[in-house]
Amino acid sequence: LTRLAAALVALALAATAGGARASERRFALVVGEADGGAGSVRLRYAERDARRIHAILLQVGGVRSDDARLLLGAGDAAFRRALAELGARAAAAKERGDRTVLVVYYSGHAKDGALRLGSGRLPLEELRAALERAPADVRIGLLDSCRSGAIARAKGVRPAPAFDVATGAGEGPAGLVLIASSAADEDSQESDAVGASWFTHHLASGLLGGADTSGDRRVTLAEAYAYAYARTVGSTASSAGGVQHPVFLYDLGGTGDVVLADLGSTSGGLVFPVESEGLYVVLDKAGRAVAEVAKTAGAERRIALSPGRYRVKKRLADDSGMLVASLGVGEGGVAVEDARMDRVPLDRDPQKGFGGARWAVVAGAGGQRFFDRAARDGLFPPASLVGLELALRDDLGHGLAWGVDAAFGSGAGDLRLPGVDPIPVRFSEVAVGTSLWRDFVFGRLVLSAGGRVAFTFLSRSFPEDDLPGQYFFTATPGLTGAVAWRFTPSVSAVGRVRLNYLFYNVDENRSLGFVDGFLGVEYALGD
Amino acid sequence: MRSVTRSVTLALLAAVAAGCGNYSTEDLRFLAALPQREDLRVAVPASGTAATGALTTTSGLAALTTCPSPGSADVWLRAKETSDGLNAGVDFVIGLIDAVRKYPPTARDDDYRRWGPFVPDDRPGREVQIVITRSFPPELGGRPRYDYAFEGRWKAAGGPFLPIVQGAFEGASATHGKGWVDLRFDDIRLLSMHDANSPDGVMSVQYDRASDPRTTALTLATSGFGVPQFGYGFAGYANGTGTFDYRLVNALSGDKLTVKASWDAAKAGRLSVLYEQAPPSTLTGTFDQCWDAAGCLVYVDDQANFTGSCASAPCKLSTAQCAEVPASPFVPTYP
Repeated sequence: LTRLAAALVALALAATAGGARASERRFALVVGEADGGAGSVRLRYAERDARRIHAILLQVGGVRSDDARLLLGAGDAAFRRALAELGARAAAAKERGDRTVLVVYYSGHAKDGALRLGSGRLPLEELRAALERAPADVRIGLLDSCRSGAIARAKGVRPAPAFDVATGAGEGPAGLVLIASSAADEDSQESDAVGASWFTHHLASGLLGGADTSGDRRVTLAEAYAYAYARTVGSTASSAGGVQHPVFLYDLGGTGDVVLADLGSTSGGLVFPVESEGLYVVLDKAGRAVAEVAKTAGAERRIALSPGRYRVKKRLADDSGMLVASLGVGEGGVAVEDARMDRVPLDRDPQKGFGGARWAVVAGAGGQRFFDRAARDGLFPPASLVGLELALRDDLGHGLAWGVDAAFGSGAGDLRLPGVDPIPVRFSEVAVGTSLWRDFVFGRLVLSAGGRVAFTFLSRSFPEDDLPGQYFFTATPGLTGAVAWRFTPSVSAVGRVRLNYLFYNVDENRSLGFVDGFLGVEYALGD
Repeated sequence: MRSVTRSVTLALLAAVAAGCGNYSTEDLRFLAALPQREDLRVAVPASGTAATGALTTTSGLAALTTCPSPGSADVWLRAKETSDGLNAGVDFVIGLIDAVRKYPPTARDDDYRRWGPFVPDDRPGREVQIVITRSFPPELGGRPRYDYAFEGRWKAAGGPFLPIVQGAFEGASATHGKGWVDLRFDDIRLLSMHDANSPDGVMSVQYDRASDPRTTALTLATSGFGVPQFGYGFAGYANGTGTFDYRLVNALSGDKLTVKASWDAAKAGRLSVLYEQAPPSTLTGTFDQCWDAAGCLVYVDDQANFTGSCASAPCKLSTAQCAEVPASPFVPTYP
C-alpha cells in the first residue's frame, strides 16, 4: 500500500512536472566571453550567443530579470562572484520553501580543461564542483566551447541523441545536468551563416519551440538537448571543422523532467501548421537567424518570438529554390503556411543578406573638386554640394543595387588670368546620375563599389563684371564607392566618394577628373 | 527611316558625351581685351559748373558770385562740360562694343572669335558682327595683341560689312594695357545708326592704362557730342594729379579757347589758354590762371584782360601761390 501510495504520489508529481513552478525560482548566470587570452582567436558570436540565451531565459525560461546575470567579457572573477551570489539567492529561496533551478550558460573559449575568460581561467573541475555543491534543487550547466565535454569526463558523459528521464517516484527532479556543445576532443564551431555558434543556435531554436516535439508548448531539458544534439550534428556533419557532438552528464534524482521553456507564457510567435514539413529558419530584421524549426508533418509547432518583423525561409527539398515570407509577430500566433510564402531562387536567400528589393533614401552634403589645378583655378572651382539619392538594393541580384541621384552645389571665388584683374565668379553645378554598385556587408559596416554615369551641368556667372554667364553640360561617367555604418536596420551613416571623368571641349579638348564626396544619412524604407 | 532614327540617336549621344556649352575662359580673355567705359572715360575733378550764360561777355567769361574777386575759374569749370561731351562719345563706342558681352561667341578658333552676324534689338534691319583676332607679335615679348572690328550692313541689301568700330589692344586686359579705337561716323551714318550729336568722320581714341599716368586721347575730326573738333588729351596719375587738354567754343561769339589744364591731388590747379576770337577778328592771345581747391581763382595773368578779371589791361592778379601740378604729357595738337 505504501508503495502504491508512493507511486500515486510520484505519478501526480510527474503529471505536474513543472506544475510546482508557481513556487519555483529560477536563477540564471549567462556568460559570454569572446576573448580567450593570448594565442586564441577572438570569437565573433560568443557575446551574441550569451545575449540570445539570456533573452530566451527571461522570455520563456521562467527566470525573473533580477534573478538573471549577464556577463559579457567580464572575466573569471566576475564569473565566480556571480555564481556565488546566485547560489546564495537560491539558498535563500530554498529556505523559503521554493523549488530552485540554477542555470549556468557559458559561451567562449575553453582549453586544457579550463574556461578561458580573457586572461583568466576557470577550471572545468572547479565549475563542476561549484555546480555540484550549489544549493539549488536543479543545477544545469550549458557550455558552448571547444572541448567542453571534458567537464563531464569524470563520470557518465556520453554523446547521445537524448537522455532518459526518470519517471519514478520523488518530489520532482533534483540534481545536476551538464550539457556541453562538443566532446572532449572536439572543437565547437561558430557559423557566419547563422551568426552564432552552431550549438547555441540550435539550443536557442529548440527553447523557442523548435524542440517541442510533444506539442505541449513546453520544452523540457530532454527535448532541448535532443533537438540541439541532432541539429548540431547535422549542421556540422559536412563542415571543415569536423562533426561536432554535444555531450551531457545527467545526474538527476526525483521525478519528471525539467521544463526549460514554457511557451505558454508568451502569446506571440509563429505557428507551423500540422501539415508543414521541412527546415524553417526564422530571421530577424538584420537577417540573423533567431530560430530554426526542423518540422515534421503531423503536429503543430509553435515558436515563441518577441513582437517584431521576421522573415521565414524554407529551402525546397529538391534545391530548386526556397520559400520566403515576411511576417509580423505581435500578440497571438502567426501561421507560417507554405502556400502563402514566396518562391524565390536560391541566390535570394535572405539569410545571406538578400532581404528582397529595398528602397533607400540618402541625403547628404559634401563638395566637389577637380584634380587639375589649372582646371580648378580657370574653369571649375571647388563647390559645396547637397545631394539626394534613391537607391534600390537587391533588385538586380543579391548585393547589387542601383540608384538615381541628384546633386546641386555652388561655389564662389576669383578667376585668375595672367595680366587680368581677378574676376569674381559664382559657380554652380547640377548633376543627375544613375549608379550601379555592389554592397559588401561586414556586420554593421557596409562597403560599396560600383559605376555611375551622370549628366552634369556646370555654370558660372560674374556678379561684379559685365560678362555673359557661361554653362557647360556633358555626361560624366565614373566610379562610386561608399562606406556605411548601420546604426539600426533602417538608419545608416554614409560616406560616399565618386571619381568622375569629364571631357571638356570648349576652349580645347581636355580630359579632366574630379572627385565629389558626401557625408549623409541613409534611411531604408520598408522592412 | 530606321537608319535616320539611329543616326539622330547616335548624333545626340555623341553630342551629350562630347559636351555642349559656352563655358570658355578664352572667351573671357578676348572680352578682357575690349575697353570698358572706365577704361576710356575722361574724369576731370572739376566739380562745379560754369554759370549759365558764361562765355557770353566780350571776354567770354563771367565770374561766379560764390568766389571772391577775381572770381571763379570758369574756364576750368567748363572742363566738366567738355569731359561730359567726350564721355558721351565714349559711351557711344562702348555701347556698340558692349553688345558682345551679352552673347557668347558665334564662332571660335584658337585666336579668333566672332559674334554674329545678328540683328540688334534696337537697330532692326541692320546686321552686325564683331570679330576679334589675337596675335602674339614678337615686339610685344609674348604679350598678346587683339584686333577687333565692329561691322554692320543693311540686312536686306547684303554686301560687305562696313567697319563701324575698329580697334586694337596690346596686353592681357584693357584695364592694364594700351590700345586704340576708331569710330567711323561716316559708316555709322550710312547705316543710320548715328544720333543727333554724332560728329562726322572719325573719332579716334587712344588709351594707355599700363603706365602712370593713365592716358586717354580722343581726336574728333569734326565737332560732335557737344564738343568742338579737337585732339583732347586726358592724363590721370596714380597720386590723384592730372592734366586735361581741351577746347571750348563760345556758342554766341564763336571765340575758341584751347586749354591745357593741370591739377594737384587737392583739385587745385592751373591752366594756360590760347584764345582766338571769332572772325572777322584775328585777335589771339594767351592767359594763365590758377585756382584753389574750391575752384576760385587765386592767380590771373591776362595781358589783354581777355577774361575781364581786371578793370583794364594788363591784368595780373595774385592772391596765393599756384599749386604744383604736372605737365601735360601730350604734344599740343590743334587741328
